[in-house]
Amino acid sequence: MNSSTVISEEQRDALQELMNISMGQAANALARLIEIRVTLSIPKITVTDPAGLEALFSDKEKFYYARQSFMGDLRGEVIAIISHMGCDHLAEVMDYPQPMTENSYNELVLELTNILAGACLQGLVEQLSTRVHLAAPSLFDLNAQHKLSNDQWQHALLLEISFSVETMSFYSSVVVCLDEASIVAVTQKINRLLN
Amino acid sequence: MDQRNLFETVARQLSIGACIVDEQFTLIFCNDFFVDRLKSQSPPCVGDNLLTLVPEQASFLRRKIQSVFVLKNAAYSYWEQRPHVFDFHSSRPITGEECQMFQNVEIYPIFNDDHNVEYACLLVHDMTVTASYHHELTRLTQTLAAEKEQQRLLIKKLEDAQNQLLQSEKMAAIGQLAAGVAHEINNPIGFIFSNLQSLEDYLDRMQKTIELLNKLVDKTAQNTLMELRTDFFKRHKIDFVLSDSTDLLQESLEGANRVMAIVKSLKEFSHVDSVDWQEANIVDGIESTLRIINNELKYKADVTRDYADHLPMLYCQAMQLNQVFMNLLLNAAQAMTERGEIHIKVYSADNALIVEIKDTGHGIAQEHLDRIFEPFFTTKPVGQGTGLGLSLSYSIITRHKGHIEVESEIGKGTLFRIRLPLLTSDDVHTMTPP
Repeated sequence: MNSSTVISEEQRDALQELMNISMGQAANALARLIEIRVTLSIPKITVTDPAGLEALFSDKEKFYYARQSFMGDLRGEVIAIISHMGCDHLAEVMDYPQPMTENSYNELVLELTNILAGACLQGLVEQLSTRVHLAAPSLFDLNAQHKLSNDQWQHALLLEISFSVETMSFYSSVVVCLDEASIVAVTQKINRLLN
Repeated sequence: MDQRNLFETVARQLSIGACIVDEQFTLIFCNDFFVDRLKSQSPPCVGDNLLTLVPEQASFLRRKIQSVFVLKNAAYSYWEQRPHVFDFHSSRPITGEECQMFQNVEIYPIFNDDHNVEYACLLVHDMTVTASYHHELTRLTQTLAAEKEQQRLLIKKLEDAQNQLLQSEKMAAIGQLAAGVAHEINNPIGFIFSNLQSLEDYLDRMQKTIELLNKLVDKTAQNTLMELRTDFFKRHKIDFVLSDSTDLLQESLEGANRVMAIVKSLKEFSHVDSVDWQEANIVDGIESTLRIINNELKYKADVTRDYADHLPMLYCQAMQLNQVFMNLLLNAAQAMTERGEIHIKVYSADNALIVEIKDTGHGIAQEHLDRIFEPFFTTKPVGQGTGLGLSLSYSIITRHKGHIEVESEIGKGTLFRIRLPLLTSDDVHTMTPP
């Protein structure tokens, strides 16, 4: 799998720039809602195949996993990886009724997924002047599902952004996965911006 | 109908709940679904504050709606985590088991031209049927799991019973084998022993004869004769032969004695009438068991005994009790990390016989003490031992209406105490044996 045939170095750099800008907006939006300092990482852009994607979901002991689909000019799924650590603290700050039950943790994970995915996607979409529509998020357990096979797709573009709250040892990662057709759409948009 | 009316009619008649609020939670629109189902005294109308319609979930809804305005993104709530956001009547008031509707709620931002969120639109989906199926499925799964567990326990019980039976049969077979072998060996060893005794006597006479002949030769004082004699004696090492013969015979007699004792022990151990109850001497049983496992014990421990005088006979299944003693003694020997002691004490008290077998082995851990009589419980590595010895011993003692208890300390040793009440034939046979 040759990643440079999917997206060139120049395009990747451009995409990186766009993401850096939009992440700043995401951080502001978050801070307004949950009134906590959230640290965002620099977005990481990779091209992967199904095996590579599966490798992201290996640690069920330490992380919750959820996914949220989006459609529109771009199609794909956002996958949220949320650490167990720090959720208690976050729940308190977000006014979740105590004590937390399994249901409330699930609710928290879904809400965080929705917020973080929305934030990431919105930024990207604004920069690229596209429209997408997010569906409802759902919890995700790879072992319970069928394995991702190579029949449905070959490459996906992953945009990975980490959100952490150091004071709570909370760590999460949002991976925006674009399907093959959307990769083409994105690269076309970027080409237009570069020229 | 003009287009505006058309759209409003459609929205009003949708089969999902739809309502629109502004940033102050004021109700701008709310469709028939909402109105019909909300369990409140007066129907909701435009201008009401939405939060007052849902007092129990007010803070939850407030948070969700606010996040839509701030983040400009949709927000969701799911029946699995929060089944009833709005207090809606159940859609199945007659046949359904639930009293309230299960709901998925979605809250969408509605943007104005400046791309700010002007309104939030709430959609409520009736998820009752899905929820109902899900609960039923969960309930069935749990029932199945419980049944499966019960079956597993039953299978284990059956396996245990089967193994106990096998073990009993094995022991019975070994008993029969031992009896057969003993019987076969008994005759030959019997006549070997008596022949040796005769030989001992003959040897003694030969020795006396040679002594006499020697003296006679010496008396003749004839040198040629004496020299011939001395030479012959030297060449055939007669002096050595005479003394060694005695030793040989002595050892052979001892050997034969030992074999006879082993045969006797085997016979006692494997009382051919094995299942019959009879009056037996417990001490004899212990001693014959010791003889049989002598090889196992002799390198591991010194055995000491303390048998009280005038012990009564015990009405019992002698072979089974011997099995118990063998099991305990072997366990004791195996518990030795270095050469130790096994002390056997038998006394009577309270119309019962008490047998104590005490060792100076490595002891049994406190947490295992409750479990040692469990079938298959063993601390030995896989492949060594069956873990059945003590459980069989326990059931044999129980059959004798007795009691077995254990005291142990790690590093010090273990003591087993068996109490065997003095039974009569009536005690055993008028009730069904356990």
